[in-house]
Amino acid sequence: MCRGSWSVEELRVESLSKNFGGVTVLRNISFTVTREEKRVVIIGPNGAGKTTLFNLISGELPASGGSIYLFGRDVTRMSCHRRTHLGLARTFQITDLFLQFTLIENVILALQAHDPCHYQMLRPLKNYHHLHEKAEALLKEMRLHEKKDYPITSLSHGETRLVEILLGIASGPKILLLDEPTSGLTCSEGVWLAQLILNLLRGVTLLIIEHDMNIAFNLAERMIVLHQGEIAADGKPEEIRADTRIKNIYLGTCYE
Amino acid sequence: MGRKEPRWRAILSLMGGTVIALAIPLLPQYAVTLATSILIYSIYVSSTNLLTGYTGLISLGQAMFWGTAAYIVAILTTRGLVTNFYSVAVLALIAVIVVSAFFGALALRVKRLYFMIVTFAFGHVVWCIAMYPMQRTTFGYDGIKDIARPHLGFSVSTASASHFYYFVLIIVALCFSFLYLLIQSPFGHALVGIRDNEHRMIALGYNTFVYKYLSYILSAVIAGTAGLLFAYFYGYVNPSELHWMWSGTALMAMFIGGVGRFWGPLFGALAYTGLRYWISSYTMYWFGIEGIIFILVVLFFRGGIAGFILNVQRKLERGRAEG
Repeated sequence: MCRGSWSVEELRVESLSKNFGGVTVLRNISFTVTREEKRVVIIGPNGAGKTTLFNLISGELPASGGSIYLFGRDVTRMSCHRRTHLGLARTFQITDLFLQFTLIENVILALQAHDPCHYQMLRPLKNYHHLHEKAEALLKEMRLHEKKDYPITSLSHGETRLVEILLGIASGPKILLLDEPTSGLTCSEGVWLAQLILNLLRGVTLLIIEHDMNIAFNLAERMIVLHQGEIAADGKPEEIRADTRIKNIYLGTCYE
Repeated sequence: MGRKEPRWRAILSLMGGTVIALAIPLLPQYAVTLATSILIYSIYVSSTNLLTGYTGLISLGQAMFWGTAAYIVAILTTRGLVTNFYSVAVLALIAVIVVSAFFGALALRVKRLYFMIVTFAFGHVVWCIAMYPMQRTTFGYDGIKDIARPHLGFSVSTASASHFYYFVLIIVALCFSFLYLLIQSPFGHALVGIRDNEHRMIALGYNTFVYKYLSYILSAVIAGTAGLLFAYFYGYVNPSELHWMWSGTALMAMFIGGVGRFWGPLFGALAYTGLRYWISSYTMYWFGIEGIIFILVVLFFRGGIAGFILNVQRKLERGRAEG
């Protein structure tokens, strides 16, 4: 692997588009994320196509046109689960956990997917001590350790948002797509979570969809603004902040 | 860990169950026969429980595997093609694996309701094939009779009711032990994850198709094991063994016993067979009463018998903790 001072490409999207029937949700999206850009925040008004973009990158939806490259490899037609084995993971805007399981069982389920034991049928899961230790370590980092045996349904909304991120990082991804990690949180909880993301996920390249502008500008090293399925702006946070077009997108042109 | 007590209770219940199971042949012969059929059905229902209760795939095609195995036993033994029990069993289960691998690969391309309809259609196709194109081999509605009880080698015969009962009991123990291990394993954990939230499982990196496919084939092998025992037990096989109504019966017994509960199939088979035996001695409208019982269970006892026992246990524990 080249680890030079030049940029190492991790994710490249080339003229990507998505139609649902006659409705074009994404049109001609191209950008490259390199290893140096640790946190790319994607903003845009509702319906701009942010989550659809994530669904295309993670492989949950097939692209209508264009290509996606992960670590230089064309993954446009690769299935969702195989992309995760290349080092991609995601979280969901609407918390999407395993409600029949306890907290630690949720985490173990996520860890198990990338462990050689995942097709093992005859040895009890509780004998896989390394999975349990890893799960407890992750829970400790998130300060959820005390609730490890709680049913997932008994956790608060803020806690389930943390678990959502935990399931995303359990596989040890190189790129993590965070779909509105702070959705539904109070302002102070959101700031706290953003700080946690900064501290915990240092080695991971993050693509973050964020609605809260304070948090978005706080997290971003680079910002991509989506508007009506197209990239309206792409640059450093200072540039985006200064761009009057972006204000128009968010506040409407009548505002000026 | 102040949770030692439930474990003791589990061991004691298991020991009690084993003693009862071993003592059944002391009862009159009709009771031994009834108990044998309950055990065979419990294997069949547990195959549905693996597929539906644990993996979340509702199938109306389980009878296809039960019937395939039963017919293969009937055809091979009555024609004297293969007489050795172990060869017959291996051939029957291989046939079931082939059939389930083929239909599973097709049926699992669709989800939920469509999966159920496709399995229903496949089951019906297999039933029709046995009825008409293969009538010369299967004798259509008349079925195949006079299947002799197997010799297990070492001069062990299963001709008597109690010998056959013990033989079935051993197979039941093997099947349930296998399922117990499976459900505790990482694989079983993943199956429940798929039942609960398949979408997230894919996002976590699971190839959920492989899990569902393996679960489908394993469940077919277990249903086939039950079907093969049934052919030897009853000595007669007819197309109703392949009919979708028999697949529906498995689902119904599973609901009565408790969906996704380990002992649910045993309770379900016990309640189903016991009630049928008892009620049909008073009235010929057994199917109607069966329907009413099913509706009552679904409306008022969602967890079935196993869930009900668990609830009572929890209430007693809570009562003790408070008192």
